[in-house]
Amino acid sequence: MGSARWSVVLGLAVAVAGPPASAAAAAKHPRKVTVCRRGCAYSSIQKAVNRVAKGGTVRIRPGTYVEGVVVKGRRKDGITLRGLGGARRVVLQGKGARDADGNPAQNGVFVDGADGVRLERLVARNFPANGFFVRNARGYLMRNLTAAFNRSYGLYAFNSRGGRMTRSTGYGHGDSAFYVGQTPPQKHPRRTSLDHLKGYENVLGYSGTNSRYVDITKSDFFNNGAGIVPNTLKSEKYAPATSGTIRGNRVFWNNFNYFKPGSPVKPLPSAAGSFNYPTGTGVVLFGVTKWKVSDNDIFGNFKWGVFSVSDPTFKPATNRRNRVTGNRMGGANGDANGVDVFTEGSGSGNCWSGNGTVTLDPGSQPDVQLYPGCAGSPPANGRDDQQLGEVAGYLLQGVGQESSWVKHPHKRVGTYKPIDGESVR
Amino acid sequence: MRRPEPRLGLAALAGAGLLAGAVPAVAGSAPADAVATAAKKKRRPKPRAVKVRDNYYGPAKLKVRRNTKVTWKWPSDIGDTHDVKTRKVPRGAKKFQSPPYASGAKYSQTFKKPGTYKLYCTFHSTEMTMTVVVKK
Repeated sequence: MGSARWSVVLGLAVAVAGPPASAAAAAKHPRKVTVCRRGCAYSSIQKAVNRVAKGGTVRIRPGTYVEGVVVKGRRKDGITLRGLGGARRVVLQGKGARDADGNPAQNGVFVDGADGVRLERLVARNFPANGFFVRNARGYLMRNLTAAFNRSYGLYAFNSRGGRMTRSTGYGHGDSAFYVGQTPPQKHPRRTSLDHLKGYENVLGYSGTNSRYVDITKSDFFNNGAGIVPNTLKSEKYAPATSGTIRGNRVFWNNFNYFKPGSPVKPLPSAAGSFNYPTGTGVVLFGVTKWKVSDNDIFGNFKWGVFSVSDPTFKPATNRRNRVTGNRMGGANGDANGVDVFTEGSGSGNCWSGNGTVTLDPGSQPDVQLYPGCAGSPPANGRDDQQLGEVAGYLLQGVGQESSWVKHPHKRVGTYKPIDGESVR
Repeated sequence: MRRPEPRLGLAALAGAGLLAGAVPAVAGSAPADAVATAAKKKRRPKPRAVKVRDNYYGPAKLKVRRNTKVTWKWPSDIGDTHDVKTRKVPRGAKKFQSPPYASGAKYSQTFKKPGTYKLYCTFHSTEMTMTVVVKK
C-alpha cells in the first residue's frame, strides 16, 4: 500500500481510538493553568495546584485569595506558583481561610515533600503559622515574596537540602522573617542561599535552629528584636548549626521591644526555656560551629553588635571555630552599637579580627584572652563566668531589657525609620 | 480530622427515652432497640483530649480503652508549629500523621488496636513525644 493510504488508515484509527494517551494526560494535568477570582477555569489556587502537571506553572492573576495552599508530594516536583501583575498584587489572606479538615489554614503556601518548587511574586499575610513553608524538599526557590504578620515565620524551610530565598521581605513575625531549620547533614552539601532580603519588625530577622550550609548575603535586617540568629537547640535534630556564612549584610537598629504592651507582634513562647531572646542585638551566635561573619555593616544596635554565647546545658550548643572578621561596626558607620562585641568566652577556636576599632564588653579575663585574634593557631578560649552572669541577667528580663540599652539618635539609612524600643511605629 | 456532627435521628430520640412512652403502639420493638442503643452508647469509651504546646503534649502518656477517640488540640492564640506522627504502632494498626498546625486546630484519631503507640512531633522529635497505651 502507498503511504497516502497508510495515512488515511492511521487517521481513522486515531479518530476511532480518541486522542492519544499523552493528550488525555495533558488535559487532565495541564502544564499551565491560570487562576483568577472570576472568569478563569480556576478561582482557587489549591484547585489549580491539584490539577497542574509535575513541572508545570500555576499563574495567578491579581487579587486576594482567602486560602492556604498545600503542594504535597513528588507528583508536584518542580511546579511554579507565580503571581501576575507586578509585586504584591497577589495576596494570600489567612484571616478566615480554612483547610480541608475545617481547621484554620495555617500557612500561605505549604510545600511538603515536593522538590524544586518555585514560589514567586506572592504575598502571604495573617496566617496562624507561616507565610511560605517548605518541608522535606530538595531545592526550592522563594523569590519576590512578601510575608506579613504571620504568627511564626515569614519564609520557612525545614529539613530540606539546598534552596534559595531571594528578593523577599518579611515583617511582623512572632519568631523570624526568614528561617532555615534542621538541615540534614550531607556528604556533598547543597547550600542554601538567602540573599537580597529585607527583614524588619520581627522578633528575629533571621533564625536558623540546627541549620547547615546556609549563606546569608546582601540583605538588610533592621528594627527587629535581634537581626541574624543562627542557633543550636536540643529540640530539633542535627545539632549543631554549622558551616554557615553571614557576609555583606547590613544589620542595624535592631531595637524592637516587642515585650511592650500593645505590641502588634507577639513573640512565640521562648524556645530557650525561661530565657528570652536578646533584644537590641545585631548578630547572635548561639552555640554554633564554623560560622563566618564577615564584611557586614553592623551598627546602631543599642545592646550588642555581635553577641556570641553557648548553651551551658547542651554540649553540642557550644560555640566552636567561629570567625568574626572584617566587619564595619558602629564607629565605622557613625552609629554606635551599645557595645560592638560580646562573648562569654566559651568553646574553642572562636576568634575576632579586622573589625576596625571595636568596643568590647569586658569580662573578668583580659580582653586579649576573651576576644582572641584569628592569626596563628586556633585559640583555646575559656568561659568567663562573669560574662555568663551578665547574659543570664539580661535574658531573664523581658520588657526591662531596654533599660540597659545605650540609646542615641541614628544616622539616616535610605528611607528607613528606626523604631528604637517602641512597640509600634 | 473532624467528623460531621451526629444527626438527631429517631434512634437518638429513642435512646433518650422520648419515643418509648409517647408512641408505644407504633414503636413496636422500639424499647428493645432503645436498650440496645443505650447499652452500645455506654460501651463507647469517653473521648480524650491532648494539649499540644511548645514543646510538649499534655498528657505525655495516655491509657485508653479500645475505640477511644483522642483529639489533639493546639492553642487558640499563639504557638510554634507542631504535628503528631506515629513512630511505632502495634502490629496491624494504621500509622498516621497530622498536618502541621500552630494554633486554633484540632486533629482526631480513634485507637482501634490494643497495644502501645509511640508518637512524636516531627519538628521537635528529640523532646516532644508521647505514648498511648490502648487496653484490650
